Amino acid sequence: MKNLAFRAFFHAELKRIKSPIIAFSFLSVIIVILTGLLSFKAVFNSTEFFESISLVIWLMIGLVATNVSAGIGVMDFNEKAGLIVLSQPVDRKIIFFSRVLAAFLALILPLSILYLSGFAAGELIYKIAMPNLFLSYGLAILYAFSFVALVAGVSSFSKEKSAPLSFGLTFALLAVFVFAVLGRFLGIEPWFFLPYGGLIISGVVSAPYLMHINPGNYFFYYVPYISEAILIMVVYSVIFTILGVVYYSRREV
Amino acid sequence: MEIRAVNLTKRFGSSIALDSINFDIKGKGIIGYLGPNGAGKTTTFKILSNLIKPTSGEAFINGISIKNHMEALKNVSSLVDDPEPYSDMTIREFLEFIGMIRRMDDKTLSKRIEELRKELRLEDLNKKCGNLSKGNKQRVVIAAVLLPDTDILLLDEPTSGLDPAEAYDIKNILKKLKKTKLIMLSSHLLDEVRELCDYVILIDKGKIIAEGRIGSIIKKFGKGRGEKGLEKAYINLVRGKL
Repeated sequence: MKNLAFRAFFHAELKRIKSPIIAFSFLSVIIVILTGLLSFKAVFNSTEFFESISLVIWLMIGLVATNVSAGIGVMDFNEKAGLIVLSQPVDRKIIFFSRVLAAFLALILPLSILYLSGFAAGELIYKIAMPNLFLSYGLAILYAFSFVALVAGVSSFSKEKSAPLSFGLTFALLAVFVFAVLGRFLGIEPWFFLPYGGLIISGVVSAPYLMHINPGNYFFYYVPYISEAILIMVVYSVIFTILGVVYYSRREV
Repeated sequence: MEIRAVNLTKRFGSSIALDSINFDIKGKGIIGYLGPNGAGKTTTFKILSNLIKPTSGEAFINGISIKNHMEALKNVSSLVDDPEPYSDMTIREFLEFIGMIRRMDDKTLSKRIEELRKELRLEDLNKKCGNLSKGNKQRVVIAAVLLPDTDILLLDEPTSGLDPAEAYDIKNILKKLKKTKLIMLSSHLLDEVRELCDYVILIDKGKIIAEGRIGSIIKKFGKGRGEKGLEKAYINLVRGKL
């Protein structure tokens, strides 16, 4: 019977995030088309094209995950509906997990559209398939989950939705500058930074073999190894899911 | 049907909202839970609804500790601190959502929603809750509270935000429900309390200052001090003129 409560929160969450997911899905197609057009203008080769597409995917995951997860842990505590919803005989862990799962599964739609359209554009323009497509897709799914867990976890100890929203967007958008400062200038591999783990999405499609250090690249001086990237993403997922559940379950309304 | 508080205490930082209160209410009927703003009424309701945890002490519903809220709250429905439905849901979606959380089957849920629609004169069920007036939102929330048909109801100012006609409807519903349920009602409207309640508990500064049947409260604390009645007794009690 617990399934019914899980379903109720899961469906409600899917419905809540339906509009941003549809919007981001359309945006994904437009971005791939624009990248395709740019590739003609800038005379990209296929590697550069797939590298650009996968970096767009990497960035989009951060943006969309932040957008759909920022409310998960905080909405019941700063909206008056929480007073009635949380007074029901329902396990708060179920509420948190169902919402995280809904946000993650919804995120797979724009993600798949990005991969499909990127793959199709590659076939159309260069007549070659995206290298390591399925490996990259699988890693992107893991990155999507870890980003959802991160933002949902942060939201469960935030007072307002704006806090996890700005945190997630900053985390996603400023990542390249963090890489540049830490990697290129200080020589520190940013293994503790989630977007660094996510960089593997691009790493596996953009080169015939993975270059861990790229001396000529300011922004992506270091690229993680696959096992290293998976470890970073799994650790983030576990830590922030546990933090989110604990805070959400104990929080007072 | 029983609601019991044992040395219930709640602190927020250095301030004390509930100071070791004890009560044990049993059976059917409406119990008025009265007190000035900041007395600790909503804090009590929040603890009983598992919205906040007590600093110390314990509360029980039908003998089950609130610590085991999944079991204790199965037969309780609460309206605490002016809640609102989710603004992006329609009235029907919100009621179905609450029904699903309460594990109601589809047939019972549809039947209950239809009953409550008529009883509470709810607007078009397909209207978004975010577009409703304050009074209509309050009626949707009351519908959500009554939906699972629990034996115990915790109602914190249920007629707040309603116009006199709407409040009249709610009072009539409560009069009907008190025959079969145990209702703990908080209200600042003493006429409403006198009309509905059988027994009252008065709380001030986190402590219970009086409790008893309305007649005996009036007799003990309101008699012989100007105008008679619950209002006088209440004022005498909370202003310490005794």
